[in-house]
Amino acid sequence: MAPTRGGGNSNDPLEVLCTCIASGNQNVDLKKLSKHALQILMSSDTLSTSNSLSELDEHTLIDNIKCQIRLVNSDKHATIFENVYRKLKLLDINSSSKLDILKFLLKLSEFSARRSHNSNVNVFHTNRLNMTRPFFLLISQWMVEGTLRDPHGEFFVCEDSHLNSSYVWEGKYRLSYVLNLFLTIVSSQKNSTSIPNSKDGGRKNWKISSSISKISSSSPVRVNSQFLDSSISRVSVSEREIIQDLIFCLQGIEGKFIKADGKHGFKLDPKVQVERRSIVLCVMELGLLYNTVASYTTLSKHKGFVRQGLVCALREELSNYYHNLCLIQSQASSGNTSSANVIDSPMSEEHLSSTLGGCSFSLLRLMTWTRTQMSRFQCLSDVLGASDGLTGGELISSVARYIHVGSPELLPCVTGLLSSMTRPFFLLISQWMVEGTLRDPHGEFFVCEDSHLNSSYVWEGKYRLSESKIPSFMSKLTAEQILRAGICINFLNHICDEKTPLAGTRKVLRDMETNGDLLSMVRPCNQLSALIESAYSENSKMVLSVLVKKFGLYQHLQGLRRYMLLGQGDFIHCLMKLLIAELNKPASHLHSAYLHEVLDAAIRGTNAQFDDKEVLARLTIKTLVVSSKDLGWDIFVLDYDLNGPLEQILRVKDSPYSTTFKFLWSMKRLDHILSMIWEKQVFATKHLRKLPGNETLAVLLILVLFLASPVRHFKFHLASITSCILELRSLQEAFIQSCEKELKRRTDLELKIEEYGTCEEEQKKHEKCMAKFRTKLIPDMKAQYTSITKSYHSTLKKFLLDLSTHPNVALKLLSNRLDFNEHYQRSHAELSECVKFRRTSDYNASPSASLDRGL
Amino acid sequence: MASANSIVNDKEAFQCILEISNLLNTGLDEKTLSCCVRLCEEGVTPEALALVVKELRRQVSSTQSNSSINNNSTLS
Repeated sequence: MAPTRGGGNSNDPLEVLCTCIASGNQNVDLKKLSKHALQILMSSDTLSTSNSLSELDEHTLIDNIKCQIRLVNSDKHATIFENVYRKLKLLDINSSSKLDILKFLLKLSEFSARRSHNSNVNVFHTNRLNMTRPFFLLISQWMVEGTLRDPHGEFFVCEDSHLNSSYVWEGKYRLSYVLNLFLTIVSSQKNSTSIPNSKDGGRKNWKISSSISKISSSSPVRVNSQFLDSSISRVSVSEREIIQDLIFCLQGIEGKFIKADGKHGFKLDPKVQVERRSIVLCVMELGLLYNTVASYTTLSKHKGFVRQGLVCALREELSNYYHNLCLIQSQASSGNTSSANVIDSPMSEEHLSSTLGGCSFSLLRLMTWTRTQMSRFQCLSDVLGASDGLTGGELISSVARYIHVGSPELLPCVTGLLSSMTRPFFLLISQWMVEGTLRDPHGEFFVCEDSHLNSSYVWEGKYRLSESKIPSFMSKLTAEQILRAGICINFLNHICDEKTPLAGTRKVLRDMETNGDLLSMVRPCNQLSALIESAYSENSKMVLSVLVKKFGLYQHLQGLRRYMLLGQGDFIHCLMKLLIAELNKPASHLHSAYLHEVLDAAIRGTNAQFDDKEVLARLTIKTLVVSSKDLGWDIFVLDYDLNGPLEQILRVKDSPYSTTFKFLWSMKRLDHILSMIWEKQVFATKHLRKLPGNETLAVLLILVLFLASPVRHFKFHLASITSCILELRSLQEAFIQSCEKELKRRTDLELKIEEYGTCEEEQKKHEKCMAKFRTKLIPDMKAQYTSITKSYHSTLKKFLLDLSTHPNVALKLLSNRLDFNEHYQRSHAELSECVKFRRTSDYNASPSASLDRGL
Repeated sequence: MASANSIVNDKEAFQCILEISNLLNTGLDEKTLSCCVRLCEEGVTPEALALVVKELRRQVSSTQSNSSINNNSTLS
């Protein structure tokens, strides 16, 4: 780009510049001015290589310009600048010269902004002079007496009251931010002070202060007015200072320029102008992350062992971080000492930054270190965010999700966390599996205890799995194995009073307690799961052997089968025979003493007497609560009185055993009745054959026989069928009775005729009776019989239909077995349809159904 | 054609720079700015140039004020 306008009659652009600036002022010696300008150029050319602005990249430069525009103008102007700059960028210009021009403009703007403040302030300096007097008093007291009388914290030397007096040289007295503003102004005015570092300690403070006092005494008004006004203007901060501040920030401490924002984060003072602002902001993010993590570890409300494990891991991570930070700080301060040698000598800001440029530690280096640490802390704070409010197993699950992180650098970080967190969890598991005790005051473990149930409910519901608390990497099977293994040990220790020796897998688990964790479980096939499985099977075997050897489990199971499930046929038959008369009485007339006697008699009278004494001793009779109209049958139950551990497992008293017994007993009764019917029928048929010339009767008898035989095969628990049979029995009894009455009448009559002969009247009466028997009684009986048969068949049909359509495969099979020769299918069309359908559907049935059947 | 094009280009660029200069309150007029631009293009370090401009202004203003003071003293 060529300059569009030449300047005056001279070709030297510097002279043109001088004339331009001096335009309108005739008093100025142009020659002298241009010579002076040349001098400045020559002298600053040597400095310019180390100048801060020259290193700026385009982006930062634009940023700085925007800041400057905001400062001197407004936000709106900054956006205007953006537009203009975009336009400028599109034009075809040499980009380096463009940047140079922009830098020039920025620098000039900064200079002129300060100057304008100064010129404004000078007008009012006399008023402000009075305000600065106490400040000088503070300075002089500090320098002369070495005491700090600054109750309101106005002085720039500030005391850290937490440190005792032995720290005089290190950190007890520090320079505050106020001074820095002050000094920046001073140095920008080319005064011979340099900005000290807060680490430099009291001695240097003094030196700086002395130099200040020189300035102050020479031109007190000017310096003070500058000081008071410095808050308006921008402060440029050297790299060394900002590094120091950043190091503070990384420890969560506020620095001179970087202030806390109250939400764990930090903000850069808007007045501070710094090179590579974006890098500084980037490093400040680590400060935020550090604060997030550190504040988490200091919270005292952490409940639960797992959470404490997490905090412990975080602390470890933090101490590692502190270690690194310490190294960084020592490197940074070693850079400082090299520059501290020259700090006393009058130097400009440019000189200082040039020495720093050669120093070993730079902002870029800090950022490189921050990068790796940042990703770790980012990961940690992500983990903490995700696990907020969770405890125990859920907490572990939430952290375990991060184990799939792809970065090889973050993986050890997450595994470290997980290992530390699962350690107490492993201890819980191990204690549960080894001792059978739950020591889980915070409810973190996935095995939870129902404290409402007493210890006799160990097997049912006292201990349960809480599925949400199972760590996500643990399979449900393993969790169940852990639950059962613990229950086994708990049962042995507390119910069986069995002292279990610590051996085998449990010993291995106990040995692992000191430093075991669940980390290995993350892989699907791992040693720990196998260990748990073997501990589970060992514990189960132990329980079984104790039950079998000490408590005679098999023997009692046999007893239950024989007596409660009516396995001992002769005993049951005998008991039924002995009790049938007694049980037909109303329930209230039953005497338990008599029932017990009968039981003893039944035992004595059958093979049961050779059974185990232990088993027989437990056999007793229980009567249920009587309600009105109950018969003895309704309340009689045989009972097997188990106690101790076996009762807790088998639960004879309220398990299906007594219900099953009641059902089987009523079936046995039906069976008994039917056999009685059969007996009577056979007897009656023979007996009544003498009744002459009565075909209908014969037919009826045969029918009854037919009915009786199939009924005998079915002992369904269906009240209607039971009532059918009972009705049939009463009908049969009534019929046989009347038949026998008729037979008796006839035989009597025959005897009478043989003895005395007969008369017409007698004959007529006999005829009448016979007719009555034939026409009234027999059809009547026949009708009753038909109705019973009908209701029996309809009930049977309904029952079979229900069975065959029942979703349970076992019941379908039962219906199949009942109708094994398809007798009922032939008689009931509907049933056969249904069966057909069922069979085809069975062939297409799902594998699970066939599996069920297989089982 | 190419030269004409570049002249138009340069003019626009200068307008942009002038605008930025005004936004930054540098207080440079068109003529001074063009001098500065030329100096920059000739390889003068921008910071040094800024320093020069600042110093020149200071000197000019000090001579002005000196002369005004002198004037005042002669008046009194």
